[in-house]
Amino acid sequence: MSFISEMVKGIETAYSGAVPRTGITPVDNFVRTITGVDDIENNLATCNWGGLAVAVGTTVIPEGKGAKVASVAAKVTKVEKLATNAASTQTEKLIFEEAISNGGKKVDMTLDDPLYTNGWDKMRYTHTGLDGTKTTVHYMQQQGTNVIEQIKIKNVTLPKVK
Amino acid sequence: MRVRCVSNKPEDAQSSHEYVGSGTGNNSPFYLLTPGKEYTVYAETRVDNVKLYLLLDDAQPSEDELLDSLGEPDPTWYASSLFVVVDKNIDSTWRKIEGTMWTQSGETISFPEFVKNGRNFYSKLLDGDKGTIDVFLTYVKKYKKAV
Repeated sequence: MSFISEMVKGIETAYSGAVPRTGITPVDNFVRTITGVDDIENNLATCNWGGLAVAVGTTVIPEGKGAKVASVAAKVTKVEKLATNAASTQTEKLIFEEAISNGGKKVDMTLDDPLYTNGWDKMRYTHTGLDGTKTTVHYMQQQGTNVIEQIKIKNVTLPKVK
Repeated sequence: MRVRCVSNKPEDAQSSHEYVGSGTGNNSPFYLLTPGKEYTVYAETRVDNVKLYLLLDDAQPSEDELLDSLGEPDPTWYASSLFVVVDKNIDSTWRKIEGTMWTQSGETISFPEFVKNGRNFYSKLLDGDKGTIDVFLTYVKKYKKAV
């Protein structure tokens, strides 16, 4: 199973039943419908993880031969790489996988952005690579639905030279 | 104020407050702290009778890197039981207020901009607000110089 397929599977599990949210600013975020795994493979896989797909509503055909995602209403959030140190693509993938499967840690209660004033938590997740590189990702998570938005890779900290 | 880490084990944190320690939000069984390493404290608070320090953990760029704009400060609260104080001197500009980022009870001490609007200051800092980052970096620079 490819990474993208695993990601879609994780998204389906984590966000089944969630619904898309309106009011997203088109400049920073956009919502599009992804028709299936192939669509994600063809479109997102080629964007070098400049975008991350987070499902906010899924309809899944039951498992079986030929089964695939029938409709994944997905939100693609721009990733802002705020650190100048480039993370490896594999590291970013790992972080995203972990953020989806393990979840981060609440870091705050007061949110100024009106889109996230009520019912949202700011979350933080840090991935430590085998080489010692630490990459921190922030995202917003809606209580109840666990919809994730505003994913930002905030810092990439390279291992210190000894 | 500087502290030395004596443990990076979550079980030694003596606090299970849901907002404490981003170290549980990672793929490591340990907090992102190094035993024996010294850290500068940027705020101190008491919540539910547990004392916490706000500091830049090992997931952060170094102070030099932050001052060179290589990354953004992302300070985190950790239980004081994970540290011993090695320099108890507190910046004379620090102020104390009643309440914490999470509760109306307890108390918080830190630099003026933080105690004046702690929740929003911290939130804006994590959101990458340039003005807030600039304020925080003035203290990073000030305390680094003092070491």
